[in-house]
Amino acid sequence: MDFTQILPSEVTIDLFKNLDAKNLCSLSLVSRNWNILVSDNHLWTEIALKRWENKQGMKEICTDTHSLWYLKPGTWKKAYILVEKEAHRTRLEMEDLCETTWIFKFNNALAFHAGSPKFLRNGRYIHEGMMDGTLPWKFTNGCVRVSQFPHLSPSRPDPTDHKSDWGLKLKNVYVTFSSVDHTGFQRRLREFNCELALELGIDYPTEAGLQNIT
Amino acid sequence: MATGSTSTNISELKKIKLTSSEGTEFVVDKDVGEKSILLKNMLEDVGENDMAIPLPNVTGPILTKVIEYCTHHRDDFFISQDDDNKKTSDDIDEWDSEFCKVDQGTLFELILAANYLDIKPLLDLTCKTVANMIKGKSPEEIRKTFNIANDFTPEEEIQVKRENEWCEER
Repeated sequence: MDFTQILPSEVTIDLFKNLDAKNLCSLSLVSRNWNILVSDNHLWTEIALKRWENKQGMKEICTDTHSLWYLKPGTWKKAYILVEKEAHRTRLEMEDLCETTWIFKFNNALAFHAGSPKFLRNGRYIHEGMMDGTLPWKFTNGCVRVSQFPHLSPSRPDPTDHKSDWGLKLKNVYVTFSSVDHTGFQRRLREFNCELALELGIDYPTEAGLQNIT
Repeated sequence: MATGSTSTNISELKKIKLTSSEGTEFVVDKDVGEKSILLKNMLEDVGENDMAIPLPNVTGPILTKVIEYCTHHRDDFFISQDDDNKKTSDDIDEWDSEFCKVDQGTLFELILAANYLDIKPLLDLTCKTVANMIKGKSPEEIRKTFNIANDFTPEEEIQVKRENEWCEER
C-alpha cells in the first residue's frame, strides 16, 4: 500500500525526516509522486542547515536566506547534493590556493603556526614573518610545488565523518598548510545560482527581480 | 503539552465518551483521552459535559489501538522533545515496537488517527516504524514493500537517477 497516497503530504514529509540524506535521494527513484515529496524544499532546508552548520566555508551560505531556491521545487536538495560533491573534491583550483587563508606549520615542531603564507595569482609565493621576497609556485600533477621544495599534496577530512570541518590541507613530509576558510562552496553555489536564475528568467543577483516574481 | 496528571488523582478519573466512525461508543478515563491534544482542547472548550465526542475519521479497531497506546503511556510525561534527539529511529522501546507489529493498512490508519487526534508521541512512533521499513532499501525493494508502481518513463528515470547521484565514495 503506497502510504504517500493516503497520508497528508506534510505527514509523509515529517516521516521522511527520520531518514538520512543519502537514503532520501534514493527514494526519488521510487515513483513520480515519491520524487515530488522527497524533493520538498522545506524538508531539505532543515537537513542542509543542520549538515552545513560549523563547516568551513559555509558560514555565509548558512545565513543567506536563498529565496531563489524556494522558487523551484527540488532546488534545496540539488544544492545539498552539490555541496556534498564539493566537500569530496580534492582536485585543486587556482582560487582554492589564492582565495584561502592558510595556517602554516612544521610537521615536527611544537609551535602551532609560523608566519602567514600566501599563494598569489601571479604564481609567486610570499610568507610574511618567515622569509623576505617571493618564491615561485605552480601546480604539478594535482599537487602544489613551491620552488624546489617537495610537492604538497592536497587532502580533506572524510566528509562522511560528521565531525569533520571540511577544511583543506596541503602537506608534504616537512610542512602542512591548513585552510582557515575557503571559498569552494561559495564558488559552486554562485554558478548554481546563476544557472537557476537563467532558467527562471531572473536577473541574478538583483534582488529586485526576485521580488517581482514572489 | 506536558501535564503532570497522575491516575491517582480522583478528579482525573472522570470518564469521557467517544464515538468511532461506525457509531460505536467508547468510554475512557479522562486522563487517557487527554493524551490527545485535540480531545484535551475540545474538553476544555466544552467544559463539563456528558455528550459523546464523535470521531468520524477514526474506525473502532483503530480507536481501540489508540486507546491501548494512550492507556499504556497514561503516566508518561509527553514532553515536547528536543529537536536534536527526537529523530533517531532506533530508540523504540519494546512495548512500542510490539504495539506497531500490525499490518501496513492498520499502521497507516494509526498515523492518520495520531495526526488527526494530535497525539505527537504516537505519530512519531508510527512514522519511525514506517521509516524503519524504508531505511537502507533500494528503490526497487521499497516499491515491492509498499506495492508501488514505477511510473517513470525510461527517459525520466535516467534523468532522476542522474540528479540524485551521490558523491562517489573515496
